[in-house]
Amino acid sequence: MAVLTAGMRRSAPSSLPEAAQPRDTPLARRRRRLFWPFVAPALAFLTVFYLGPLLFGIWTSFHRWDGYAPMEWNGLGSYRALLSDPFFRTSMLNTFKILVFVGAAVFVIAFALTMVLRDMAGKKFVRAVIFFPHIVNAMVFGVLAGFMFNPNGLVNTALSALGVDDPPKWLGSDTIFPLIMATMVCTSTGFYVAILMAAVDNIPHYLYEDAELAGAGAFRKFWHITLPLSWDVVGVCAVLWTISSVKVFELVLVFGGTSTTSGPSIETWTSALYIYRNAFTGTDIPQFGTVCAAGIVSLVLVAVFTVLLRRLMRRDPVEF
Amino acid sequence: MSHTGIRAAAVVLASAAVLTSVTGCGSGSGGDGKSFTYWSMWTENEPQAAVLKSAIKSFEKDTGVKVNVQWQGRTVMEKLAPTLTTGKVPDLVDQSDDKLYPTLVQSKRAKNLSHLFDKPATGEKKKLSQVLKMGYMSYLRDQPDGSGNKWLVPYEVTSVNLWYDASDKDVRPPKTWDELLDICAALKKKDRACIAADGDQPVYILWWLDYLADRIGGDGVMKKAITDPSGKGWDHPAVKKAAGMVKELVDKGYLLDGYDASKYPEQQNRWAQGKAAFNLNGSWLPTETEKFAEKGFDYKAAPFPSATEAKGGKRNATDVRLFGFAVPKQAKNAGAAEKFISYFLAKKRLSGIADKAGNITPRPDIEAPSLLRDAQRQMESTPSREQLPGSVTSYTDKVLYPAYKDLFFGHASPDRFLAKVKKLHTSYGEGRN
Repeated sequence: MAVLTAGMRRSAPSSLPEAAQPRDTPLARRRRRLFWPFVAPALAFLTVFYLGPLLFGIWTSFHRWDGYAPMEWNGLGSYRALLSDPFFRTSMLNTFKILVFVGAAVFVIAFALTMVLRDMAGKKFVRAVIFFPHIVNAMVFGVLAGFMFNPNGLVNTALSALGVDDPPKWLGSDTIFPLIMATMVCTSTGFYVAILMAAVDNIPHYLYEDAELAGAGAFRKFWHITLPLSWDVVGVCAVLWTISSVKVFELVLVFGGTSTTSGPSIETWTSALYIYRNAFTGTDIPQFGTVCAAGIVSLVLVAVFTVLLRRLMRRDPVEF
Repeated sequence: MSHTGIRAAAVVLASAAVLTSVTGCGSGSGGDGKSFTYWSMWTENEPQAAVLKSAIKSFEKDTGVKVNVQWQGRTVMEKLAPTLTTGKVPDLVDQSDDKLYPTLVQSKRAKNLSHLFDKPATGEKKKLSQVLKMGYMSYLRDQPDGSGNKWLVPYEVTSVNLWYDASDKDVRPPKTWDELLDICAALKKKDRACIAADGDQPVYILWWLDYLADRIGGDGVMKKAITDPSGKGWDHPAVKKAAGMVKELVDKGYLLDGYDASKYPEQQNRWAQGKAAFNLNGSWLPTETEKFAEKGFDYKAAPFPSATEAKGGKRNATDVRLFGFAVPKQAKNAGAAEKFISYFLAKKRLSGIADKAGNITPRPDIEAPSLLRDAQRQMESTPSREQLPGSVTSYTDKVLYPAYKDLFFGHASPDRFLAKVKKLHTSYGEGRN
């Protein structure tokens, strides 16, 4: 996308007065000549691997298609089918739960940790430790879930040693999704701490000292200094989180699912999982029309959400 | 368009052409019958792969036909699907019948293999149809054209039985449902669990309802419930009665605790440790749990108990699943592939599936490994049926499991279960546009 906007920006100067246009300078001409050779390969990749499949996906969503027989026109049939599928709604709702609730938790904790770590001795080491879960493959946590949360697992054994006789059914239908969300908070926070820390480290120390002299507490320092001065980075983090939360897949797959063919229980599906389970069906004929429609619907929703988020977070950058 | 623009467009097109040619490359096969390509459902280090590998080696030596084998693993059908339109299909594939059916048979792309049953396996005298137990194949879904042509040659067969530890003095194989309840009650008095089940495995817990409805209402009850678009099949009294019987097991506390909140294979491992008496499970259970079994554990399989007035009766079918070979219609070297099928089905080669891979073959003259002898005997002496007949993965995901889980986990009455399953059945039908 950056490539495209760069292209657009180049055409913008045409509205400038004739004298200000850099059109005729030899440098500008050479630049112009080099524009396409540099952009073309990336554009070709983008077209072949993203734009093409996306257009094909939109096209397929208006058809009935099992992947090998010729496509049959289906109009909005697939979209209507999605509406009548209660589990599509569940999957979308789960994705939004992750987006909003896990996102909120991640950011609150990340900010809190950032505040604590800012003045801490050995903060680089601590940051590395907090970051570590992020580089561990999500599969590991899924596999660990059984070991930890089975009725006779580590957690319940520890709880019974502490005298808790009736521990919750961790992997039961009602608790497994909150458990997955909690795991996500643990694995994602470190990543955002690292990014926010980098932004916070750039804030001049004297601002904090000044605030301290003025009698500001930790929260006021955060509200009036840290947040406004790292706002740009927070905005980028919010978009990064939005995109990554929509793609949540493997953690749910292995957390609730098992090594056999049956996947996780449908109540834990996210939109990505909905698409996967409907496309790679095991003993069913795939319904790629519906699958593509589901993909398009979630793409549109995410795009809308991201645009709104960017609008909401738009501020003039503070120079310092 | 300026010169720069044209040049740019050319660069884009050229790059796109290069990319598509790179992604689209593959190898075509000659179709000379001197070699064939086999995509296997096994991965290379599995015991079945070892048996197949040694058969391939001797086949190449005996016939001079080269086998290009690719160990694709369980997703072989997903990989096969896109090739079916390209003409670059493998000549031979294998999988379980329920996985082969949608991709290969329902799409009318399976070759008719009936003739292989009319001739003997390589080096034998009797026809293949005389040495295999053909009854196993009776439950298989027909070709879409209703021709009755055979599309699968099975080489391995699994069943679902009631497994128990014969060395456990409190446990005996129940002939009837009431007898099972009696055993459970006696165990309960001793503070022991009766039944182990991994509740996160939809099919594992659904077997209870499926088998019971079959025993009470006979063959066809569950098939109608699952496949009748109107949803009226779920109103059959046998289904309701079966649901009530499942509820009784739950309400009386006969299930090993934690079954509703554990991660497979936790409960079956606990069963092997003697924590519960019975486990309704596949004939793969001994292999899976052997490592966890307590010392002296004596694996025995009983048929699912009868639940009709006339004890035993005709309703004694066993859930069977076949694994075998199929040949895509467009296969260029179908002849060579079929030759290999006949070669592998000979007793000499197929015995490896029992002796080395520890499984049951569809040939009664090959004795199953000792752990599975019970299961083999039951399958051979009873009619075969398909588990959850007519069901597909998405139906289990979206209709059966979400509704049935409530019943099996004790949250819903049989009536509430039936109301939910019918509601989901209807919305599932609407979603299949």
